[in-house]
Amino acid sequence: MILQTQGLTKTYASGVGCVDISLEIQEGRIFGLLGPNGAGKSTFVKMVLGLLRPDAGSGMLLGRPIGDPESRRKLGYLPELFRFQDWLTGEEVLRYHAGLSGMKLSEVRSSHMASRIRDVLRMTGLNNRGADRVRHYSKGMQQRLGLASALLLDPAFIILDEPSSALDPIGRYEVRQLLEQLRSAGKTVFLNTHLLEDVEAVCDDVAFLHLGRLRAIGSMRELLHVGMSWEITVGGWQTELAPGISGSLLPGMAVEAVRQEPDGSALLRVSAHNREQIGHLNRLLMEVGVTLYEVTPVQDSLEQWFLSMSGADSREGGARS
Amino acid sequence: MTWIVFAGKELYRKKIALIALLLTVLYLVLFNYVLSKMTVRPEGLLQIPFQSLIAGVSAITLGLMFAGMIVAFVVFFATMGAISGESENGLMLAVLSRPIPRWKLYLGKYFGMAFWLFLYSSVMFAAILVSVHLAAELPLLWGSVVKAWLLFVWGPMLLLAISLLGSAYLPMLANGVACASLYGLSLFCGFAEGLSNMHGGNDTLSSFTMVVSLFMPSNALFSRMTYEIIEGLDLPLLGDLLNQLGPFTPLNAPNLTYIAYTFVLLAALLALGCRAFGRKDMT
Repeated sequence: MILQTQGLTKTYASGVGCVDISLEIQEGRIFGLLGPNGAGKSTFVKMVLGLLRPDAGSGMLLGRPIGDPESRRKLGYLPELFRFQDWLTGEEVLRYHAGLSGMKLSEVRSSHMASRIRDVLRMTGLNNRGADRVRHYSKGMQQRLGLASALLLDPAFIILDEPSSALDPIGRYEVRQLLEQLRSAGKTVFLNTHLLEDVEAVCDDVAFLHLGRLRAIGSMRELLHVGMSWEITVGGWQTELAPGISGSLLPGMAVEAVRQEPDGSALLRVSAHNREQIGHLNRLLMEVGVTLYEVTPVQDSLEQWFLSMSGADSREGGARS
Repeated sequence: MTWIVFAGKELYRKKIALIALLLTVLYLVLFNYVLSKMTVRPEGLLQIPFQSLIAGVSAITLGLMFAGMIVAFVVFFATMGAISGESENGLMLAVLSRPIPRWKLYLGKYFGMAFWLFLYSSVMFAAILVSVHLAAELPLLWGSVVKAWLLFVWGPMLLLAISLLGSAYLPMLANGVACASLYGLSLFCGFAEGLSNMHGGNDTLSSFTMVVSLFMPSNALFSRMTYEIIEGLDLPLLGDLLNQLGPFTPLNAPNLTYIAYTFVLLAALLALGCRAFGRKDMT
């Protein structure tokens, strides 16, 4: 287990930050923490990193208690709102961060580190700007330098807090490509974002945080009902057939007529665990004389899911992010 | 070593070193000009007259006092936002996500900056002392000079610890104002006590000055340093010389117990700072 938290809670005088957050992140997965602004996502991340002291709860990060500096030995972190020393060059910032990780001055100045710095600058699209002072970087370039810093020491676990927020569309695409590369390299990534296209494109697992509380957690397939919902277009449908069919369904199945026309055609929404159950329904429909025209698997969009999750609590007050 | 290099780079690149250097050169030029006017000797006079000695001792006292003030303000301006400023602008977020204990980072910042301040205040001390020694031909003793030098550079080390501790609790600007005010209060108390002593002294003022010196030892250390220099002049009529210094007469120079206390104070300030920084939330 890369990260495991139990009941992590942080409250602010101005409002709730995070309440009772328990989650686990498996090795080699890309985990997306979703939620609207002010949901408490950054508060949670900062508690995990030891930047904030939890009011309650505990957790283990890379085999050590959260807050223990050694738990961050194999961790890379890109904060959301951050700055580097603008009087340093990009390369000097990276050397400074290598030094903060316990390297001696000779190691920091070694040719091996110089080579690694060149690599991460190239990976993040800053290959010709390492010798420039950070004060001459654009916001997007500083974001790229933050990414380079997070990747510098080849971490096993990378926490990215809104990594695409200051980037243009090309930059966002490149970040997604980078995330794919990290997954291929067996890295575990924690992606804290409200950019749904990023999550949809790369995440294996997601959690939804709203008003400081964890509202849902699971794999993308589970939460978006991938392969669990179908729409079936039929002919010869009569309302009185519904109870009989519902009574003959296999466990875990459900059928609902979402649209019915006077000519007998109808659109049925079916929940099922697998295709075999859809085959069973097909047989039931044929037995009562209903004609089956079309079967379409249905997948909720992440946006729909996000809005439905947010909407449930939209009238409640905000929490601090 | 890493911290010394980093602090040096910060002082240089932020132009703090350049500004400090320019101000120092300007100050030393003015000081030497005033000194040359104070120590004019009549033609053909071979012995150092008493008035010339008074001028030389006064010049050392005032020169080191203003040099100490310049060093103090360099300390405050360079470090008033060392913790809070970097927390406010988000710089600490990336730094503290590294596997470094916060106390190490705090002490690294302290010792990195302390190294350069030690060099800077040593240069200031040497420049003042050499100028006065050459202009007024004061017969200084090396032992006393070394003691005075150590006391002079010890002050900024304590001010640095106070400023860093303040920056762990207060926003950058508030810390700068607080440190400068405390430093000013300490100087004022010392001056007021010196004036009071010229007219018999005042117990309440002395007690208040002592309490202030427990938190801000700059004036007490300065007083002891002046005492060491004057005592090291190895001259007759020392009592008369002291009386001529007016409010700067180091009659209430602290004893060695107080100097030992300042070591404890430094350790306490650093320990408190490490604790405060360790418990600070990076929001």
